[in-house]
Amino acid sequence: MNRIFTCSILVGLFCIISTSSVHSQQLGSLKFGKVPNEFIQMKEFLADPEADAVIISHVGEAKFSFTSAAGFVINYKIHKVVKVISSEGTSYADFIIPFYNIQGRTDKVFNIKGNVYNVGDDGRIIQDKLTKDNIFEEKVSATYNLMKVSMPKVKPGSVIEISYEINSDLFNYLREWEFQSEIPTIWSEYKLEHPEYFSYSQINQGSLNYDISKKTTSAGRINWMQSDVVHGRYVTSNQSSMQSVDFENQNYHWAVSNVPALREEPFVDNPKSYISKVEFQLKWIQFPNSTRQNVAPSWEKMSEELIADEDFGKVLNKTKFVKTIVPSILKTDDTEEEKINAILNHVSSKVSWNGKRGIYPTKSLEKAYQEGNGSVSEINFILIAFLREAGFNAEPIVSSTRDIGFINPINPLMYKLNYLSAAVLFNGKELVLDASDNMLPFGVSPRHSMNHKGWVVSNQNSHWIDFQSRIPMTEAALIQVSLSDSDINVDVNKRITGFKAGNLKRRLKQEGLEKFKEDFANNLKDWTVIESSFENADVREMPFVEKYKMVSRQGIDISGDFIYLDIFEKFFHADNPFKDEKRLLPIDYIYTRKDNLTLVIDIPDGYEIESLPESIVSNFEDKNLSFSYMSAISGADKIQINCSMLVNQTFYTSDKYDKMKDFFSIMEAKRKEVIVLKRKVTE
Amino acid sequence: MKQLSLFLCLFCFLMPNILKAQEYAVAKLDPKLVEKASAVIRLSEESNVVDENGKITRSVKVVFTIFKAEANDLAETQVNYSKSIQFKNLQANVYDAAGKLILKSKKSDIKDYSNFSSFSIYEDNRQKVLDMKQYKYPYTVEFLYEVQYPNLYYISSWYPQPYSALPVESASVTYDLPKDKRIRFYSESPLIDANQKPTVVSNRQSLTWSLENLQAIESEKLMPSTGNYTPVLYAAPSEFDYDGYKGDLSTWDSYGSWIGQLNKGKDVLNASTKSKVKDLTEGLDTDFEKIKALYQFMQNHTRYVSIQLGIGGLRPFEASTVEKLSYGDCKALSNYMGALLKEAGIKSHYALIHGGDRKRPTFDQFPMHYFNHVILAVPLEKDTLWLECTSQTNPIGYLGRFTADRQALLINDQGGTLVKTPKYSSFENTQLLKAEIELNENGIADLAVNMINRGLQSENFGLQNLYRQTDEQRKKWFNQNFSLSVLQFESIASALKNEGFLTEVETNAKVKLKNFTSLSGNRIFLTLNTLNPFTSGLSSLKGERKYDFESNMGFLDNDQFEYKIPAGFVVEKLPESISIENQFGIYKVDFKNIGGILTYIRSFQLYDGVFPADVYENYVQFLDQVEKADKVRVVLVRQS
Repeated sequence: MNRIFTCSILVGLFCIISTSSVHSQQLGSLKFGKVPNEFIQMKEFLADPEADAVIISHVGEAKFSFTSAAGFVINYKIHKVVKVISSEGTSYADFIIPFYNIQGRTDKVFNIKGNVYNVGDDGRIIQDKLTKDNIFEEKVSATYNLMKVSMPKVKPGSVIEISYEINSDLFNYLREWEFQSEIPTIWSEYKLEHPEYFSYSQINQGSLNYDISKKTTSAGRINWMQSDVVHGRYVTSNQSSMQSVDFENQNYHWAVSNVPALREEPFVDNPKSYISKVEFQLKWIQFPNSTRQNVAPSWEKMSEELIADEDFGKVLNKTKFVKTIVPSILKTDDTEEEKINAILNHVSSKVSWNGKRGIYPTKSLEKAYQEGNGSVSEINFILIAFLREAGFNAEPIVSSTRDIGFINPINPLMYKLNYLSAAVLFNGKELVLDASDNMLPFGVSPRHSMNHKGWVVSNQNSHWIDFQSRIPMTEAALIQVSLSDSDINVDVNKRITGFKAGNLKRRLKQEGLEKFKEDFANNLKDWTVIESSFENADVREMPFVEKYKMVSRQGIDISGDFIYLDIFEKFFHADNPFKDEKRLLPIDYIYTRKDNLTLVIDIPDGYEIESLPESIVSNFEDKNLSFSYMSAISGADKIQINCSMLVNQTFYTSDKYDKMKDFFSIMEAKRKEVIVLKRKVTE
Repeated sequence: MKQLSLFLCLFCFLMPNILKAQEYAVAKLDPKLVEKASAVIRLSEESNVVDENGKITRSVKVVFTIFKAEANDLAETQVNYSKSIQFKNLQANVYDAAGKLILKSKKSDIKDYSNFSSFSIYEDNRQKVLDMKQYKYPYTVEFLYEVQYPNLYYISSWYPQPYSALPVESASVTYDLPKDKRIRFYSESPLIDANQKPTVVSNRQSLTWSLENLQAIESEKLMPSTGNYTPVLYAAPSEFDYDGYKGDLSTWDSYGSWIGQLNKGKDVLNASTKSKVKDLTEGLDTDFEKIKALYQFMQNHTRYVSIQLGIGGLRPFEASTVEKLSYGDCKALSNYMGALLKEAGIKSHYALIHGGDRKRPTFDQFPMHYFNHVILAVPLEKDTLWLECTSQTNPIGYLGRFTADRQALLINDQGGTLVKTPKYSSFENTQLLKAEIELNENGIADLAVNMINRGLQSENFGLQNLYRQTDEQRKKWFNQNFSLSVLQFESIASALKNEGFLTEVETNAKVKLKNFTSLSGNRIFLTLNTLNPFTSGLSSLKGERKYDFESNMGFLDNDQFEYKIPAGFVVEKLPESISIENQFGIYKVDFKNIGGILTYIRSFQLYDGVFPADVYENYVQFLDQVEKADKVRVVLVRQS
């Protein structure tokens, strides 16, 4: 990190950037209208042949400027050069620039210019200009707009460049800069210059090594005309004078080269969580001779402000309505756990989630409670109020949902916080509670909220809390197998807990028993389900239990004196999810898991065991993942196979990929093994 | 006196509410009608009033009672408008289960959004959205809105049961228009008499239809997409005036002429394109070769960008605009392609069609605007070549699932003619899969596979793009589409060809596999069809099927897999051959075991077609048989 003007691994093809640090800087400052011919003539991108398009250069500059009419304005200048490789890549010739209009503060997009470069039939380079006909403004809603640009004359091989400016006075939304994209980037650079009157914290995410990362200061000066008031109007009087003030500018500069494309992979629900970028949070604004306006300086400071906020911490002072309700739902001899459960059940069944996120309630807690619906923050604030009333130590947790990306532990980005859950002290441990989903058992949070970390906002001691679920998703099945004629008869008793249990209960409730049973039978296609029953669909705290009997001719072969049995494959889906040769992004299981399967097989009369799959135990990283397969003969006429798979650690970096792949390959092989029975030789 | 009038006023205000309270009470519903439903349409009233200038004022009142959360989206309504469609009014009332009014919408509740189709970069379409969602069920929500359409082209058909899963208590529609204007009606539903005579009062005529107690439709798998499950009254104009473009939709010819008029003079090319056409086609002997050269030129030099503004939604940009921008929508690109062909002396026809994986009904005898897409038809000596001009990658003449086998309105000199696009039958949608597999004791196997896909099967899993992709992408494709564990790729290649008008993709791969077989004691267990096992996703029904079903894509798969058995092992028992033939298709499997080579030969042909409901069970059983037979396994035993 922080290497200035050095060049990391560079691709030979691009001689401009492959030789020295000086050149890499030159590339960074590609001038509009001056795209090197090499890129226009380039036919393929050897560093990543999969790429449909390549960002040759993406340069942004954000600068605060001052006019006496408008005051400070952030001026963004952006220049992007893209090479289209394949016909799929032509979609990168459409640009969308979002801009906002929030409470009198506005963004203005202007000075949009663009060029498209193609190689003509005669080998000469043809340049086409972007015209007004190619630019469209879409007013999506009252506050949100898009500028859409569709470049002309684009085909595989084209190089496109666009440059535009945005003027904005949305100081608390200083635009972030993404150094990475779903296509590879050769050069990405961002500069920020702001006066000392504004303070921002900066947050860098991603594993890239910056070619440039530096911070400097420079002198700034504002000039304006002093005017006098005459007859209640502003006019420039004869006595007008030039005024000025000097200040210091903070300058930041980042650049990075040869950034790989960000692509979807299994067990990554949001690749953007891993994107390399820099984000900004306004900490405070302070003009000369005035007091400092704090915005959100640090997580601790933000906690203090949230607690004092009328729309956040103070809502917990207006919860008189819970006083009468709490005693009515708790019994005096309830244990702590029973109390928490009773409250969780009461709140989640009384107030349904209306699909809205956010950390601030938009109506009073009492109103939400009475109307019977609310946002996550309203519901979980109600939950906190109930828990506190019952004597528990309960605090709000603020976090971001998975689709927003990971929360940054160094500095808070207020606009990215969109989720609120509750932390409660229970048996000396702090537990995450969420009443927005009335199907999930105690201590299990919805998938979208499981985004690694949340921040507990507390009067005395705000702190991080891990969303890693202490309650695993478990499946435990006892499967009894008997053979008759050439049928396999199976009797299954399966208990499912955790997140998956909640989902099954929800589905059963939504679809009704009849439809649920039908789907259940259809999922076991090779089998004829003779009877099935499901238990605890309405009991939140109990495991979801599936009991079913079924019969099949699949998986059993009778061949002369031998019986071949491979029913295992049907019960344990262990297809290796990792097939690709390489992997870039981490692997995230989200919930810990514990699957356990016991098969008890009756050996039919007159048969004995010829061969049985061997027992094995396979662990990955000291039981972070663990697989065991135990086969044994039990008694005179039974085979017992016990198979378990544990995910104790949910998050793995991509360098573990090859070994994980091997781990799953062992499971896959085991699944295919066959039990062989042989007719006894009778004397 | 004053008091009395106040009382009267109050009474007037209260009356409707009291009536409504009774009207929308949940208890009033027929329990049979709403037995399984998540919501019900209590009432829908549509009125379409046409003025002297052809402007249509459309007022709609619709009332839903919502029982379950899954239907809660009904309580959010969208009213679409644009520069030419005027938004007049939108309001809503919410009633509780007893039918008591509990909430009225405010003006500020209405949100305004742009409403672009996902593929469009620009349109002038917007929508007003009113969200009245409640979270205590059941409740009733009533929406009232009004819009004004600029001319008769916009006349709305009537869908009394817009959601087939929702029952309807009562629905009605009125069309009210000047005596000298005409709207045509058509319905396939026995419940609707489309030939009803209008009621005439002075210079106005009016027609009303109403229906009551429509049962919910329980959807079944494979329902033909063109079936009539819910009643529809189609309404279409005869003469109309669209921004000064006078048209008549009453015959296909007059419809075609109108489109012809909109397109007129838009196919002028500049001199440089003209000479390009000359360069490209010079020396080529057949029309087909010329078309191919020009089609490729069009594909390489344009891309699809959709911009729909006012009448621009109906007429193409000029060819010169496409020359300038190198992009356009389906209309513009088809028009441009037609201009290129015209320059080369080849006649072609602009053709309107409804694009989509699911076909929609088009009634020959009732011309109306069924279409959402444009393609180009090029008549050749014996056949017609169809060109999809929005794709930069489609092989020439390939229509695929999006536009094959349906009616298109061909624009010609006489006006327009309805023509059917080609259908790909089971004989054209073929896949030939040949594999040689050398087995090892340890589960490792060397696979060499050759696969040739034609017709719609050339679209399988993105096959058509494979030839221009990288090895990395091909490997990913292989991993995604074969359920095998790859140890190592030796080679993988793909080629795209044309067999006449048919597209053909040939794929070759050499791969080392692991976990291909499993060993237990002295036995190797080998599943013979891991490369192309069939799964139908269908299962036997408990009850009786109500509707006909459609086998919507016919195909023919021929597979031949040769297994080289490891030294020292023999096949324990060769499975028996299978041969099944019936009205749905043919399935045959044969096994050979000669000189240490075990060969699995499979042929599976599934016909397309619509079949009556009562043979559905047979269809499922046939596919089950195939699915089961595809799991056949052999045991290889070590010779002692």
